[in-house]
Amino acid sequence: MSAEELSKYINKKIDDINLKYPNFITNEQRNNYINKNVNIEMTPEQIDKKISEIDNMYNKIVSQINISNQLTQDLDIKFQNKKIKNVDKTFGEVYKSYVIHALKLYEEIVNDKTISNNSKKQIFELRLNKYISNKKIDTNEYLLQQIKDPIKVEYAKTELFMGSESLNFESVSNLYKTFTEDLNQIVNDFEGKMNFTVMNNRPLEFDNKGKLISKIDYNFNGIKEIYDFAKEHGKKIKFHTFLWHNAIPENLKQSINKVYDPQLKREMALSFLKDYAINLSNFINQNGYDLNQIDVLNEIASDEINMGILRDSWWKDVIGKNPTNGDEYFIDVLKIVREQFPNVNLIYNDYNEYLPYKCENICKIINYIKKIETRDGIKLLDGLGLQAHYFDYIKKLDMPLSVNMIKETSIKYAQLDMPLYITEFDFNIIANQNANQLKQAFINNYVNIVDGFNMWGNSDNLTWGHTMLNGQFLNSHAIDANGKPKEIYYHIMEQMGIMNKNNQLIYMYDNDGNKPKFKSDKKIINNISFFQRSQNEIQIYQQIKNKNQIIKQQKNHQKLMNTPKAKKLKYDNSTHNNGFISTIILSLIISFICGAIFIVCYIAVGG
Amino acid sequence: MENNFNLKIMEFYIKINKMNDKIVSKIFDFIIKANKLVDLSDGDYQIEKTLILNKISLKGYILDSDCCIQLNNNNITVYSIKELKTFLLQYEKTFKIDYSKYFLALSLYELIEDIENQVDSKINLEISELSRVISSISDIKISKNDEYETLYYKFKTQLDNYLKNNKLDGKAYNICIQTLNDIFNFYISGYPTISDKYIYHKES
Repeated sequence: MSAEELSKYINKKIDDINLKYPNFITNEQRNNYINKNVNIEMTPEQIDKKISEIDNMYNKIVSQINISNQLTQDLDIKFQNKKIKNVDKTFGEVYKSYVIHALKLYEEIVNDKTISNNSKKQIFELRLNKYISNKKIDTNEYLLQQIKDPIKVEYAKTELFMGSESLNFESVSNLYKTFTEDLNQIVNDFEGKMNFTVMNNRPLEFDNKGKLISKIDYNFNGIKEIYDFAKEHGKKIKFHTFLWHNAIPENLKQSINKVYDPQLKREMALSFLKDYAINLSNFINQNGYDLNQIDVLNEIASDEINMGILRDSWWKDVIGKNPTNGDEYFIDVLKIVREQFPNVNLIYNDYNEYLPYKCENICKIINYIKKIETRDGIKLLDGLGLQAHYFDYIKKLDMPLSVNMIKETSIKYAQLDMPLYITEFDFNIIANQNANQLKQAFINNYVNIVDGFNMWGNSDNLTWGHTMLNGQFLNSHAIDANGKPKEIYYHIMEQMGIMNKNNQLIYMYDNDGNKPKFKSDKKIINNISFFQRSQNEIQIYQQIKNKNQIIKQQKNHQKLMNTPKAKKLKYDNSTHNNGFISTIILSLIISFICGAIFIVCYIAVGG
Repeated sequence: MENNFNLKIMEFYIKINKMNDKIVSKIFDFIIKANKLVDLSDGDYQIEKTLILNKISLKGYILDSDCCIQLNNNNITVYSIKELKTFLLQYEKTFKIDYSKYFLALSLYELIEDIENQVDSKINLEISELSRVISSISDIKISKNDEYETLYYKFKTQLDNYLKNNKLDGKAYNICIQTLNDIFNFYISGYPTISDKYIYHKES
């Protein structure tokens, strides 16, 4: 091979590489390599050595490119399957088990090839209605066992099946799409609360030191149906909720309330909670669920202004402060759960977080927990859950919710330096001018800083917000009554950088809700935004603008001045009248003259 | 210096001339289109003397559009020119209004940036080529305004000596002087300006 042929050989190899990975080797690099490595005086041995060197390099580069291409393909497939670009952030919904059952039924029927397409809808709706009727009966029996108060039973029944009448083939098919394509985290609703999971079928017994000695019958069937379906579809799971002041098992309350010794009460409560945590952990592990988060502490901050940081609750009274170190009651709860769930994200979840006084309480709780963590060298809390149930009027403050409240509280939470999650979003505000501003403020300030977003319920009908208020449905969910996501849904996802469904511009709300709405593609890395201007530039522009307006006025003035004066024919009444009269007089004179001439001629002829 | 050096200066001169022609043509292109914008905008935009003032005016004009005001009201303040074009297009389609004046304004803005880039490239090339003759010409980049005069005469004296000592022929010397002037003009006066005859003056 000659030196010239060697050059050609090198060029061919480079072309091959660039075919696999465009512009991998630039022309400049190509020329430099050839100039450096090929010269006319090379011996055949040197050429052979060079070819061998080039072949080795080529093989290395190609294998690296192949590995890189394969990795990219794998990643693409992974993202395609999950339909979510950022796998670290969570996006989910809270489900009641009957809704999950509806999705499961839909999936089964749609995939059943023995059922004709025309019959699928009818069969689905028949089977679903039958299921819901039966479930209502079973639930009623369960409720009667759990709750003694008949009014509470009625209320629970309504709440448990709220929106079920709205489920039909079309709406469920849309909900199924959301479930399978968009969500990566599923949360249970009421069926995970302690007053449902701990069966009230027998009294709880404790020894004289407060240790639980009777067996508790736990009922995790409700959440099992939800978690099984989530697992089948590769979704992460969040358990809601471990400790809540509104979900205390009746039999536990009765057992502890009988006791007077506060230390004994404390031991009994903690013993129960340990048993609960162990059984919950066993349930999760035995079923192999991908448990991502637990709402351990739910709504423990005081909701009253200037009434202390913590909510007064039965749990707080019964567990009380740790007698050894004075730690607040919830620290012991966190430690119990942490022991059973060392690798799960433990969350403190609260509401009205956008109110300044509540925000202060929540932040104080977080800072307190962080101090204990530092003192004891143990991670107790992994995140703060902000429920985001938005209402436009704050009764306690007797004032409307404002954009400023949303902005300022979000800043306080961001400064906590702790993962934040929106956990129960719904927007219970009648659509008006304010509503859009508040919505936008929420998206700009809160959605921007959170690592996960969950909606409470599954559509406008399948949520507690489905109520009449002043004659109007609240339509508080991000998904409408037919199961179709609203624009706010997509806006939230894109703001979080979770998903960009179709790479087209989507709309968001503006102040009056009528005009078009735009989304910004936030892929600006190196370019300065066109919008950016210094103060100096703005001032100069203002001067230019004023100058141009003056020029405009001058031009208009000039135009007027230069307009040629058009000649006008005037209509003169007096001239017109004089002319007419002259004509008559003239006619008379001519007639007289003609008459006179005629008479003269007549006389002359001898008439 | 050898003859081929003088030859290199000639080659460089041809290259610079081509770049100059390109810049001048773009400036004329700008003037023609800017005049069109003056009409389309009904006088809200007027051609300014300097490129930077034109940029400020064009940007302000575009940001005053209904579309940009709405973007701002919705807290969308981070967008490139490319994205802005898409927003304007969407707005135009949705409201069925003619936004050609804003598209023209945007293209004028981009044209000015292009002109500025071309001028920068030309000046850099001139400095790089002239450094073969005057090695310290790049000192102008770090000099202050009040030092320019001294620096200019220092470089000119150098060139005069090269001519005197036949190190540069007459043509090469003239080219070097022209290049030197061009560089200093840029550092003193900035980017090319628009001729007065294209700028509105109130007729007396």
